[in-house]
Amino acid sequence: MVRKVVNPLVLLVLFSSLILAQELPYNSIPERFSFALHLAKNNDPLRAAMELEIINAQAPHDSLTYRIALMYQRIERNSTADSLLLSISQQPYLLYSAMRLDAHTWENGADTLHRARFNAEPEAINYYQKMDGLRALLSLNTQEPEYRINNSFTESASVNNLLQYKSQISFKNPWIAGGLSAIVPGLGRIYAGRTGDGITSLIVTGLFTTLAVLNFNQNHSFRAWLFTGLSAWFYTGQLYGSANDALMFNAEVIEEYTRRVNEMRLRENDFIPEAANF
Amino acid sequence: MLKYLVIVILMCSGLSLAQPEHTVWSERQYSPLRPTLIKERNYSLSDVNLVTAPLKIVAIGYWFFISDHDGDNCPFHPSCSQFAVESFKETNPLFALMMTSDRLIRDTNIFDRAGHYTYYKRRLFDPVTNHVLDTEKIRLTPW
Repeated sequence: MVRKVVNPLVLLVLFSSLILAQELPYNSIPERFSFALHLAKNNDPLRAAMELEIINAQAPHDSLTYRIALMYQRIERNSTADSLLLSISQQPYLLYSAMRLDAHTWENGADTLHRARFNAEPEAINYYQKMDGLRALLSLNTQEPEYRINNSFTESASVNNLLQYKSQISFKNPWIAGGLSAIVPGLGRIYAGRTGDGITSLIVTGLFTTLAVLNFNQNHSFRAWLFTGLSAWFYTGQLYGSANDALMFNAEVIEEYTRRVNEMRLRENDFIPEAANF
Repeated sequence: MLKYLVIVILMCSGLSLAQPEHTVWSERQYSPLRPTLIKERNYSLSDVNLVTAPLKIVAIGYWFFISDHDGDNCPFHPSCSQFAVESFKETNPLFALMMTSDRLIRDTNIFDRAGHYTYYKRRLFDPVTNHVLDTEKIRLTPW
């Protein structure tokens, strides 16, 4: 009697759990995609590419292929990246060159442009002009003629804003920063845009110097020399840091300008074919 | 009686194994705790030379006797002690000493310290290579 009741119950429990339980979501496409993005952001492009390839096999899409190519390019497997790009675009050199620009590998991009110009296709020449304008826009060291830049973009207002921003950019000289900090500790850091670090440099160096002087006056020679050493250590450190802060300031300026240019490029979609502009 | 028993068991088994929808599709919640840097420390003396050996020994002593007990408090990644060890590997001893004191000054800054760095592992990203006076090596973001 008991067995007659228990056996169906066991079966019922098993089947009910199978019917109601949900599939584990870890292998679903949205989960895998978010995991791939997480890997890409955390500097693991190879594994991100592998995850994206699995998704692309299940649900093929141009934008996925483009992202896989980006991942491969980040680990410098350019031939794989190029073949992927060739597979998704009817005008491969457009995408190819845009990718090259993204990676700041100007030499390879220039090769492609020269090939495009040599072929003398109208689209290629048009694209060459665009790339030339973009290169002029991105260049911070030379004075490029503005007409070359303006002819390359559809949205001239944004370009004018960028040109205005570009004209206002000024770099900091590390030698001036170091020299100012040699005169007054921390002044070079304030010149390089790091006011807090500059004030801290002045306080720390001044504190140890004061302690050294007070101990020399009180004839505590060990402590006096200890604080003298510390004072000298922090003084030279802030000299070095001031020069480096100027270089960091310049790097931040270049980064910010490049970011603005890239934002405009993505917004206008002038350089990347529509299918790949996700 | 048997009918009610079966219904109860069915409900319980379904409820115990099924996942609510918001658990499956909601955004992943990560721990608010900062990942510790203690695990990343290299206590080995195999990669030191005559110049860096004394500093590495001092650093290991500091980690073992002070830092591990004081807590994982440095706001930077890598931490100041790790930065000092790495700077001696990256450049000459004179520059490394200056880089170390420079880092301590920047760590002491209470005015606008966080404003100049990006976050990496919930700490301020400040690698040694950003401070070797080489523009080509500067990385403002870890990715």
